[in-house]
Amino acid sequence: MRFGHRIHREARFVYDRMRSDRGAPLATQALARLRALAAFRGCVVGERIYAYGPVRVVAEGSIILGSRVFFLGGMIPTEVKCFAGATLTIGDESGFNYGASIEAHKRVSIGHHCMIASMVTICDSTADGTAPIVIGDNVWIAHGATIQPGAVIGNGSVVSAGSVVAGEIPPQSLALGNPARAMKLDVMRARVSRPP
Amino acid sequence: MPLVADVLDWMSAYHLRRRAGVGRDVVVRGGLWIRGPGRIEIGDRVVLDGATAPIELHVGPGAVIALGDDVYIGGGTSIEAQKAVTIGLRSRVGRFVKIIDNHFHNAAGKRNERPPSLPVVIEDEVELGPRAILLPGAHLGRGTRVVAGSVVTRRVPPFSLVSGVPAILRPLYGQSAGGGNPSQPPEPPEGAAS
Repeated sequence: MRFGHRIHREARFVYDRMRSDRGAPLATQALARLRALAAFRGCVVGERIYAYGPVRVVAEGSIILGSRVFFLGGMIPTEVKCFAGATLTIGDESGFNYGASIEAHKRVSIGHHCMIASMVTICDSTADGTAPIVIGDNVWIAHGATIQPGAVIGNGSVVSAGSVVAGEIPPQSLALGNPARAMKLDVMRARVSRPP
Repeated sequence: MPLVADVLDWMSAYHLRRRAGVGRDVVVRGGLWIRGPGRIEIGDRVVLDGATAPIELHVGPGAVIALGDDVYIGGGTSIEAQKAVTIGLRSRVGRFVKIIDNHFHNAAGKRNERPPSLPVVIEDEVELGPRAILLPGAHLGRGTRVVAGSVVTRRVPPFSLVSGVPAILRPLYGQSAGGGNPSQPPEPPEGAAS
């Protein structure tokens, strides 16, 4: 839309995948909105949802999307599946990178302003049983992480790349490892911003 | 009569030749996604095997992705460079591997700002298992093997085996952990000479 529209500036800056769309931002965004509406037809969606790439949706249960939720495109399509009798809730301005897979057999809830990176798997059912997954606000789940049934992730936490989360992660913490253990986020800040 | 897959291969190869510095006898299969204005250097006899899933090469402004001779890249692999990603001679990268030299977000504080990049270096004859993840600052010494699904964040000595999330050194060739024996190199990777 406009240059100053926050979410698109964010999407461009954060993932750098919108760069190739800079020539025709308006048309691309319009296409993304149409694609998202087509994919999520029959679901409860907020205003302005965007799908910049292919999204495969199974909406047998109830999917509730907030405003300005966006799905970025990439090599592998994103999958959003909500089976019969299940509830999938995604908060405002949450973003999903390519290849993410969200499966709800009972209940999956994702908060506001979450960043779900590429190839993340969120599934609330395994052969051992089904348990709801609750992801708080402002959570960043990094590339290739797996969120298992019963996981509860607090607000502002970060799940590091490749981790497997099965239990409870407190707010403002860093989940790391397989199975994931929680540690303070500030430790990570020191490491991430280490000079080269 | 060429198959559709053959046409896709030719298109990918053409795209790569237009976009990157490519050596001799490079093989490209399946889809190839190249993004960003940066520089891509590809050595001789490199195989980009994107038949199962496309390969992504993402080079930010002023960034470099350099693949040495005889490198094999599996399908679904994504290499994202904001500064530099270097892969040495005869290395083999498995399927769905992710290599990034920037976290793209601060873990704490302002999420929309980028932390500084730390170049990723993969030396010669390294083997990366499928779904391995290399994070900024990873430096794999010569002949290192990375087990499938591992997450490497730091420097790994030559001729060692690493596994786990985050990856730690494992005993190799009947020795205790703490790095391999440089005088006993690993077998050459399969198909390196082809």
